[in-house]
Amino acid sequence: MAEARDDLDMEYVLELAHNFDVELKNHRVEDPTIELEDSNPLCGDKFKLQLRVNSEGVVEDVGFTGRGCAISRASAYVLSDLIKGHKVGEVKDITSAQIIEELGIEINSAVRLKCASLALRTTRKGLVLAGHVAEEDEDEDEE
Amino acid sequence: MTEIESLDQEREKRAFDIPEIRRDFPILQELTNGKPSVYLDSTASSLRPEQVVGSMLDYYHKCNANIHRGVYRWSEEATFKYERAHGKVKWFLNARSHKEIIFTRNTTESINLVAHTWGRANIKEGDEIVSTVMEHHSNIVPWQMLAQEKGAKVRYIKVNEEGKLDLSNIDEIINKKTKLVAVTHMSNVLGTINPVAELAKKAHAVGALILVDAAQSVPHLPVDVQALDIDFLAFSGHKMCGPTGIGVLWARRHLLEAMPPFLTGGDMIRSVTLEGSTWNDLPWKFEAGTPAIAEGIGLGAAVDYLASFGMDKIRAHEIEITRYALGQLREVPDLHIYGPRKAEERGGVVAFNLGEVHPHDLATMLDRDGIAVRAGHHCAQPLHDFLDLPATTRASFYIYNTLEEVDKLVESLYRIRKVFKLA
Repeated sequence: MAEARDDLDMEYVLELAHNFDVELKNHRVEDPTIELEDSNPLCGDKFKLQLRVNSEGVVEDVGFTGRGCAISRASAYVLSDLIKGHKVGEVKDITSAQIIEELGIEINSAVRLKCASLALRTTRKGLVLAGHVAEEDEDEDEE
Repeated sequence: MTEIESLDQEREKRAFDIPEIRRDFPILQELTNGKPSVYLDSTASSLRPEQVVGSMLDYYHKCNANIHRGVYRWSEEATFKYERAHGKVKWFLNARSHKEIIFTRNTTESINLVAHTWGRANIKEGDEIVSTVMEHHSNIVPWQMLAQEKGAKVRYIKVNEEGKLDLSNIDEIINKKTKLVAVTHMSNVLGTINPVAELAKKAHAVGALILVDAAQSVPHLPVDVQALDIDFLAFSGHKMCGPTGIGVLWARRHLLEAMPPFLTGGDMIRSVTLEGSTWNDLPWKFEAGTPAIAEGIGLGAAVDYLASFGMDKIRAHEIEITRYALGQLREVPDLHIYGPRKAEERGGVVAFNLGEVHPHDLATMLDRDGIAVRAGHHCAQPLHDFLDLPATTRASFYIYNTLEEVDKLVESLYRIRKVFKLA
């Protein structure tokens, strides 16, 4: 039944969001090399990103502290998994679509898409500001 | 003009019968995610009945022309309909004259019109403008901009724990430096109905004027600008069963006569020479360029539609459904409702939070059940900051909503509690 399946989808997102709460929400990165706060002012989601990138350009630790809806927290959790231990160059290739696929739900609302991509946008901004990647025109129409 | 002045308000009177009313809104037959649509977001924008849509189509199909200039049949008919819509709004608000009714794009534009014309001409350095923490951004930002430009100050009346204005120090806030009080008649978040008549007295006592944001009140309760004794009033057509793209500024005639025009160009002039121009009569002085003709006509039809039931009946229905909703919602564990406790003291808009569940997630889950609510801060960030809330979920009721729809909302909330594993 569609209803039951929808709830299951959401349950997975909630599981991821719960993992965020347990592992990331209060996790402070030691000696972060990048720190950046970003938010969705329209809904109150707010994250502070911390990254520790070592001399070889590998992301050693990631921290996302802050508050947000289940989708934004779940996608922050998914993202942190994808970037920890990877080179900065790989990070910039991660797309919103990838993250949303990991969440396992269908997102039809432009508003919720913003929630799902907040963590990624913040990370990209942080990397640009730290000079790790060149500034690119943000693709607003990214599917 | 005599057509409007002598407009007789012989309107078709209809019983307030919800099933019959719902038949006027074919969109209610549409399914949402395979479920019957439960539209609980009229505070953001209402649905529009066939009568309103039909009136606009009639213009497009039968007398499509520009207004005020043509001497041919279609133009005359279009002009008559558009001007008569002004007359209907004048009647609806009990204004003294149609010259006091200006059609704009929406509430926001109406307020901006006052800020840019009356505001710029009258606010000086050291003056104070009084607003409140519960205002919609459209009744905050224009005043902040004006104050910044002129070196004036904006002061904010706070709210108490019940979401009502804290008037304990009102005589200190509204003082002889105050030039304008800008206040909402009904909060689009808390539903609080503010005592604007009382605030008008306070404003006038110190020589200040009062502007009322009536975006939520005009659609939901009887509003009489003469009885309230206010100076400016702004509202939107799309929140009162009218189309989008049309709003109203009402203001006292002598104020409008004194105000410089807002947008300039065609239609708002009487004569234009290379040396200068003179302005047209009210209200056209403030309606530059070709207006949203179909939309203006649609607004007139919306007035007719609501008036056929009577605003008092509409208000009575809203109190009943809000009372029921508040009662049912209060039974849901972990549900926190904001705003006045009694339905009689508020409009049919209910903002709430369910435990720690983020409003966005709540709204998404409700959408899956076919229920439309709004989540976020509803263009009232200062209010949410003041109440220390990141965001809220908001359900609102209008003439087509039923008690059964409230039941559906509550049922969904119980189910969502389970999904989010709330104890």
